[in-house]
Amino acid sequence: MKKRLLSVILAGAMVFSLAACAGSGGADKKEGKDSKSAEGETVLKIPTFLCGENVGGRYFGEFVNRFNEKYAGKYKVELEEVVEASYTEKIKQLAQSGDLPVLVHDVQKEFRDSILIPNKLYYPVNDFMSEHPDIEKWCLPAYLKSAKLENGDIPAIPGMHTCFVGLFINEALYKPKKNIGEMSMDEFIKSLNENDKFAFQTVNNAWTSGLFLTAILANQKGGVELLHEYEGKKLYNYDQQCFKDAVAIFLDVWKKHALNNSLGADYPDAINAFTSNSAAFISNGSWMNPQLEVGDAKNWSNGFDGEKVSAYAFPGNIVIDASAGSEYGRWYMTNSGTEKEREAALAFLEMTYSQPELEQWLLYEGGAIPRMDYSEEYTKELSKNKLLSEQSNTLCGDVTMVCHLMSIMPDSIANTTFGNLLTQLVNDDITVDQFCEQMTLKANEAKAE
Amino acid sequence: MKSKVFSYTKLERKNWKWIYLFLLPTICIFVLFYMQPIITMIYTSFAKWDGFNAPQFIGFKNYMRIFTNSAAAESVKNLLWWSLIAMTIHVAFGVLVAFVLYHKPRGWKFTRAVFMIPNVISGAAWALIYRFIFNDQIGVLNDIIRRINPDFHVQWFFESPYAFWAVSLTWLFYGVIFTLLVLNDLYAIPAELEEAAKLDGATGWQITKRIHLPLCRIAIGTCVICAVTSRIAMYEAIALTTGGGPGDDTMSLSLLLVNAINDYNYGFANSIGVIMFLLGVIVLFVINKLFRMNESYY
Repeated sequence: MKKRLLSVILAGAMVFSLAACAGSGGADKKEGKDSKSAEGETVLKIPTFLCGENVGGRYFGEFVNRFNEKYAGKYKVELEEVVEASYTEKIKQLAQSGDLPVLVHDVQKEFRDSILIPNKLYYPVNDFMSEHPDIEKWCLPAYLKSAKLENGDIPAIPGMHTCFVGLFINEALYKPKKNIGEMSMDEFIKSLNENDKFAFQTVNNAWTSGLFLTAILANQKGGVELLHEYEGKKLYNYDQQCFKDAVAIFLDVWKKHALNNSLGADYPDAINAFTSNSAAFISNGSWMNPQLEVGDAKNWSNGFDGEKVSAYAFPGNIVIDASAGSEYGRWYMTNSGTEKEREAALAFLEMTYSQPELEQWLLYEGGAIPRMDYSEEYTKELSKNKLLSEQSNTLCGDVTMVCHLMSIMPDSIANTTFGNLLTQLVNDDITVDQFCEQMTLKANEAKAE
Repeated sequence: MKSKVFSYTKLERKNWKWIYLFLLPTICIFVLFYMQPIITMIYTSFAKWDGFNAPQFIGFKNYMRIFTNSAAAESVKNLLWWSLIAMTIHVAFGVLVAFVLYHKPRGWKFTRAVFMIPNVISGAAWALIYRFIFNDQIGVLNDIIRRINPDFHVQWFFESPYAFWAVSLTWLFYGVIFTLLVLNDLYAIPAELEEAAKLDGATGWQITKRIHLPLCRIAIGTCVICAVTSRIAMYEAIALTTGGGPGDDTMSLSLLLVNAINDYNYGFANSIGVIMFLLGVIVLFVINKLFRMNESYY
């Protein structure tokens, strides 16, 4: 009898533990409990990819420390590391189970437009915006206008930042006769010698190759208009003449000037090629700056010297804005959490969008907040950093900002198909026309019915 | 003649509630974590669904899309080739190693241990190791080939038609599970059978062909099922090496499914999932019949 009783208890325990596991997530929430640490602080748990080796992790880690120090005893931010590539998927799962964190990063446009906004999972920041007129003043007018929904809600703080993506040149290998931005694409390509190589890539999203193709496209007749027209949307027709011409020029540049490891190269391979004196050019964003500073010299080889690198706009004064088309800023507040957690999240946003923090962030991430009057301290710090000041000056100059071609491709096309087709193109397995046909076909197949 | 009616024994009848009580946790886990997702997958495969909002029924449109999708045809072609290679070379190699190890040649324990190593390395790490092995500039393979032909240059994972074979090589000779399954069956063969065969003058090959192989039939059938179903579900080996390229040269249904998820086409992704599920069931059924797996050994 004892054995039976024990068996029943054990079997019952297993079943109940299963039920407990399944139901544990929402328990606190349903009871309206605050997440509080032992000391009575309100703990704000933020799933984030800005951790560890991530390029944005350096600033964000320091910011969180400053926040925790400032609000010690009241609020505390705890970070939960999530891989960047699966961040939106993770947030989507949390949304499905009703466990959205109070603060989430700027998410994929599809998730925002089809899930976050229609289901009102956001916490409107209208009151926050009216309490902080400075923030409203810094926001880019176009984004400020489009950020307001039909019901009057502003689901997140609108975008205010323009991000620099241009051409990094190792001047130890290639010394431009004049400012690259002022050259036409044709003039620039003609100025290249046989040994002037580009760090291109084909693997994953073929990032550095895609950027240079965008720059070539923007230099074609109708290219800028095409990129502007589809900013924030998806392009399904790649049979347009300007795109075909751009691909043909890109192929020619690849044949003559791609580094020999470009076929099959991934992003780290391209960076390595550049920081080992193998490639004179790499198309990339200002987030690469820290890798070119003396502090990162341990990763350099073959006598590479980061001080000899300059950042320019692409020929034709084209600068790619990596944040283009994203009318909302860096964070969304969701409708989850308790009152205390929301208070903590608002304090977090207030500190994030304070001028000193934004300037500090710019010093790490690069780019510009065009409508902000920078402090003297910031301008002084900026002038000490060659690459940052070059990029900032470029952004303030007479440049044409365009969105990245990848950002207007359907996600699966940008993430894998483009790289796969590019591999075939550079191997001469398909022609330029076939490449464009395939891009159109695949993009249309990726379209949701 | 009356067929025998199946009936419970008295002891079984007495214990049935205990049997079900102990099965309950497993049934709960199965229903929650397997059954429910499978049902969701099946009914959303007939819907337009973004993975969050309510699915909208669209009939067989998702399935029609699979048949008209350019990458799906290539994926199915690749799957057929990979399945054929898996059923033949992949399983045969694992079985061959088992037969060699069964005879306990010198160093058999070391060989068995070494053969196990790839199994304890994750698929992702294994794929990255192969990215280095097959790299044109720094890869071991091309380094060896260039000692004979200094002008040799091939990016195995990124050039047609090599990419297909390079991906195949990442798993082709790693059949340790098959070796262990077959080895287990070989050790279970009564020694008397072999002794009797030897007394009758049977040669080593005849013993292998007439006794060992037939008696390992069920284990080999299981190996074939595992090999083919692994090809249907194969993802990391492709995603982390070629990403399905160049073009669609190494595309697979699982990659197509992930691409559909990236594009928020969950309904389409689930229709691919249903096709993969059905393929798995068909393979199970066919191999079961071919290898007469429900019949006795003898």
